[in-house]
Amino acid sequence: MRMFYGILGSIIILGYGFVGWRGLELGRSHRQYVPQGLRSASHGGYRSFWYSGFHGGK
Amino acid sequence: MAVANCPSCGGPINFAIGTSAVVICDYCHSVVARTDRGLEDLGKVAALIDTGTVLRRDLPGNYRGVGFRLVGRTQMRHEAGGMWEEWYAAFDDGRWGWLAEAAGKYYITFKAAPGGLPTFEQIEVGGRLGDLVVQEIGTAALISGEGEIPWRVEPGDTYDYADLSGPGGHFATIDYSEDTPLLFRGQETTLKDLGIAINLEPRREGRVKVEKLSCSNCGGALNLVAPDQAERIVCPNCGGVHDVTAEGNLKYLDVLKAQGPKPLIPLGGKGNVGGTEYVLAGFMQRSVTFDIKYYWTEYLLYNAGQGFRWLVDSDDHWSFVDPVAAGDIKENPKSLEYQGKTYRIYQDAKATVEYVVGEFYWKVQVGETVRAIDYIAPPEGLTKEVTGAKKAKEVNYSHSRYMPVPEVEESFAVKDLPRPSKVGMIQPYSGGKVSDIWAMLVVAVFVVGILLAVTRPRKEVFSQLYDFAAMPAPTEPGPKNTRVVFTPPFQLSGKNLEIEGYSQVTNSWVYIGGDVGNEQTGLLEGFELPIEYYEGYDDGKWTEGSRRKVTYISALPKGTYSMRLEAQWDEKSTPPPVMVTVKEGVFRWPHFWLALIAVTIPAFFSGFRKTRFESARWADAGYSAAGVKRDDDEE
Repeated sequence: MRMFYGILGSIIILGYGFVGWRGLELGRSHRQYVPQGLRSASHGGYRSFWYSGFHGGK
Repeated sequence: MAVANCPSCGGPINFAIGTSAVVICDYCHSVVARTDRGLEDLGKVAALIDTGTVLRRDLPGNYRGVGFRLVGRTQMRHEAGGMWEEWYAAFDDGRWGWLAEAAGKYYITFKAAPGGLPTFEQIEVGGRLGDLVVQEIGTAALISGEGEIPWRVEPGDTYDYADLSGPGGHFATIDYSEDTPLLFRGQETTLKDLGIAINLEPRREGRVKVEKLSCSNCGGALNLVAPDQAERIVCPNCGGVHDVTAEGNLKYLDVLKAQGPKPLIPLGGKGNVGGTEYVLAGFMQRSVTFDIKYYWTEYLLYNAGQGFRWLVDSDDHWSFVDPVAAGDIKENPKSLEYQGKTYRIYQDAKATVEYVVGEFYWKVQVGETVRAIDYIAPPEGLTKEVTGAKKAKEVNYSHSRYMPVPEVEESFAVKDLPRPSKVGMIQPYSGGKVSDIWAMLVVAVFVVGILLAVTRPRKEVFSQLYDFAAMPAPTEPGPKNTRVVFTPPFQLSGKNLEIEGYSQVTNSWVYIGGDVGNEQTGLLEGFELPIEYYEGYDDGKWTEGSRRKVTYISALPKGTYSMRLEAQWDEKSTPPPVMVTVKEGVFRWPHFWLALIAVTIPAFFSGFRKTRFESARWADAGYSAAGVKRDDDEE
C-alpha cells in the first residue's frame, strides 16, 4: 500500500507539474485551424474569412 | 580451614570458609552446624537430586573482578512443585554470593542492607520496592544440599520468600526465614559473566533417565525433549498423566479425561525461530469465558540454551512468546511500557487450562486458572499473568510477537495451516502507515505550486475598453444588437491565458463570443464570456450573476495573436462598455487544490480502511481502544 501510494502520489504531482508547466487547461478545447483554402480565397487578408461566415468553430 | 568428623557418621567434614554456618556431610547427609559448644548435628537431608546442573562444588569463577569458589548448595522445592538450586559462592574478598539456578537461568545476589522491608503479610505481588517489582511470593522447602552453607539450614525447614525483579536484569530476594527479613540484591547473570568456563549445554545424564520412557497407562513411548526440566508429562496417545519424581522417575497419576484438539504442529517436532532451534515439548488448550467460551492453543517450545518459549495460536493467528522480567515493565493504570513502547490494555480475563498433552516444566492440570491481562501494541503484545487464589502468589510477564502463518509454516516445516478469517489481537495492519507519505506528497504539491508561480509569473498582454453600442450597426440583414470587432495584435510567449471581460451591466447581459487566432499559422481557440448581472429587492436585496467573467485557455504556441470579439446584448437596453483583458502565465488554484485532493484521497481511503481494521480488532476486546472497560464482562 505504501509503495502503491507513493507511486500514485508521485504520478499525481508529476502530472500537476506538467499541466502547470505546459499551461494546460483541463476540459474540452475549442482549438482548430482556419482552413487554408478559405484563407487564400478571401479578400482583405487573413481576417476576411470571418466575414465570409466562418465563426471560429462555434 | 577446620577439619572435623561428622558427629553422625564420623566421616571427615571440612569448614574451609571461616564464615560458613553449616556443612553437610558428604557421607551421611547430616547437616553439621558450628556452635560455641562445638559441632551440632541438625539432622539429615535427603540425598542430592540430580537436576542436570552443569555447576559443581569447588568450581572457581570470577565475578566483576573478584574470584570465588562454589563451596556448597541447597536444593529447594517450590510449593507448586518446581525445584531450584542455590549455590553458595565464597568470594576472595570475604563476601558470600548466592547463586540461584532455576530453569536454565542464573541469578547472583549478595546480602544487602535490609532497611524498611515489608513483612511477609504486607508484601504483595506487583508491589514496588524502589525500582524493584515483587514478582513472586511463596514458601520454599529445603530438600537437600551439600558442602558449606553460610546460613543455618535445618532439615525439613521451610521459609517464606519474595522474589523481586528490576530493570536491566536486576534481581532481589527477601528472605523471611528469620525474625528480621533479609535482603539479597544482585542480578540475572550468565555462566560467562561468572567467569565459569564450562560447556553451557546442560548435562544430559542424571534426570535423563526418564528421557525415553513409556506411558504407564498405554505403554506408548514418551520421548521427552527436556527431561531435566519436566515436572508433568501427559501421554500424547492416551492422556495418561505422570509426574516426574524427585528421584527422576515417572509417577503415574491418572488418565486425562478432557478431550482436546490435535496439535497442528506435532509434538517433538522442531522449529527454527530467529535462528534458534526449538523442540515442541507440550501443547495445551486454554479458554476464557465472556458471553461464550473463547479457546486458543499454546505450544510449549524448548531450547537447551534459551529455555522455554511459547507459540500461541488464537483464531489461526500465531505469536511467539518470550518471558519478560517484571522489573523491565513500567505499569500504568491502562497500559504497560516496555522497551520504550506503550502497550494498551485489551483484555483482563481468567484463563483456564482445558486440555494438555506433552511435557511441562510445572505441574499443569486441566482446570488450572490464571488471571491473564493482555496489552497490545501490534504487532507485539504483553501479557501479565497473575497466579494465586486469595492472595496473588506470582506475576509473570511475557512478550508476544505476531508470526504470520507462512512464517510459522516455514519455521516449523508444516504445510497448509488454516488462514485467519478475522482480525487478530496483535495482527499488524497490512496497509502500513501512509501519513508520512501523505505529508511528503503535500509538501511536494506546495513546492511544485511555488515553483510554477515563481517561474511562470502572471503578465498582462492585452487590455482594451470596447463600447460596442457606439459602433456602427451591421449592414447585413439580421439582428441589430450584435457587433464584431478585431483587436490589435499582441504577443504570446507560450503560457496559459486568462481572458477577462468586465462590464457595468445591471439587470441586463452582454455576451461575448471570441476567438484567439495566430496571425501566422491560423490556429484558433474559441472562448465565451457571458456577462450578466441582476439585482433587486425581495425580502431584502438579492443579486445574481456577475459583472466580471473570466475564462482560461491552454497555452498557445509563441507568436503574434489577435482576437475576434463578437458581442451581443439585451436588445431592450444599451450595453455599457466592456473591458477585455488578456493575461498569460496565470497561477491556477483549481489545479493546485485538485492535486492536493488527489494525493489526499488515497490517504483518506487508507485511514478509513485502517479504522475499520482497528474496529474489528477491538470488537472482541474487554476494553475499548481508549482503555475503558466494556460492560459485557467476563462471567
